Amino acid sequence: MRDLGWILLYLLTVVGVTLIHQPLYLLIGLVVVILFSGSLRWRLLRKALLSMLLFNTAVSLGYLIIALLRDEFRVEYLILINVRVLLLVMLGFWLSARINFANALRFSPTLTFLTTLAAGQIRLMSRIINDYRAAFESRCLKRPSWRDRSRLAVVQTEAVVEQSHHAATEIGQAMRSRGVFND
Amino acid sequence: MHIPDGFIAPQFYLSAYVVTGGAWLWAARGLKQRLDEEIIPRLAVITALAYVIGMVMLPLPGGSTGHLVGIAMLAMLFGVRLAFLAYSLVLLLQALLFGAGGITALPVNAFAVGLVGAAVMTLCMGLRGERNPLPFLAAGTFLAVVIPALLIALVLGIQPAIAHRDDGTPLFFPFGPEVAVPAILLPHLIIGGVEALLTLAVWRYAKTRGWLA
Repeated sequence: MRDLGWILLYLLTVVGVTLIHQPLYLLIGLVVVILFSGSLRWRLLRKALLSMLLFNTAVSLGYLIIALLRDEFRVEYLILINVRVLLLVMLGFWLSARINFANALRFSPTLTFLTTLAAGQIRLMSRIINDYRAAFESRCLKRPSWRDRSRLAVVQTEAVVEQSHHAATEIGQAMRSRGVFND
Repeated sequence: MHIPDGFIAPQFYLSAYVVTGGAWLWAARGLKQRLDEEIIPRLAVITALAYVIGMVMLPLPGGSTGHLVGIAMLAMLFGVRLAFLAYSLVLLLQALLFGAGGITALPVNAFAVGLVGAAVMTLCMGLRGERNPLPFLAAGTFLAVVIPALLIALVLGIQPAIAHRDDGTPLFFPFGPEVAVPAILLPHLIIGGVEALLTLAVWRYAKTRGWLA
């Protein structure tokens, strides 16, 4: 239940963070989260910055241009939105580094099964996608054509759809043979 | 397509949780009685499929790439309820494990992409004839990408009106619908078109394997 408690605390904190509109308070919150992240802090911070980079850069640049043209530019807004997003992403990463989701879901055996199976299958299918991509790139001496890249997308999708059908049958049989559904 | 955390006002995302929560209950209700050796692994595997389908890069004209949304394909293969639940679980895993999307954006993303996208595709599939189903499948896929994108753009576009300071400075997403709609919708018109072609290819494949009802 301890992990479930952390999840509930995280959810309350997230709502609290979105109710605060003073950049200084959010900045203090961010520093606190970074300090409490222990030895993982720089890795989590780097991961958080990378994951928000694309969307936040697009929004920030768009705001900069449009607000300047309309003479409505407020630097405070840029600080607010970027610090808030960074804080929320850091909180999420901090939570996932701190807790074991399987333990947190122990109150529901079905949900535990579901999440564990899904996480395992995600790893397996991600490897298939990456293997196809690597194999394709290693066979291309020059930039592949639109047609070739389209064919890659099709075969990758067919491969994971096929894998998913086989896996569903196999997992069901494996679970049944181990008496999972006997209760 | 996903909205990240921090761009939606709490008064909107909390209300969205109520609405989407109702949809989750609806989708799970029929399944609860059938949570057996077939449904649990099937749902887990579809969830994984929904996740990795987003890793398939779509070639776009001009040499750039986008990524597959995949909800039309999931709806085509597994129906609205399973597609919606699987997509929602993926969004949750992405938010908590990979920092993509986000917990505050989850109900909006799940409702728009997972439920509306899947429902649009299923509706178009229901309209298809036996003789020439391809135009309906293509249109369904295209609309299952474009309509959720429009919804998400509108949700983002109303944020400045919902939450702003007294001087008008936005507190969350800064642009109104006049900027948000074209900025989000235009790329998705291309992604929807390319995804429609890919879904047709997968449909042919699934048909030869007997995976379609």
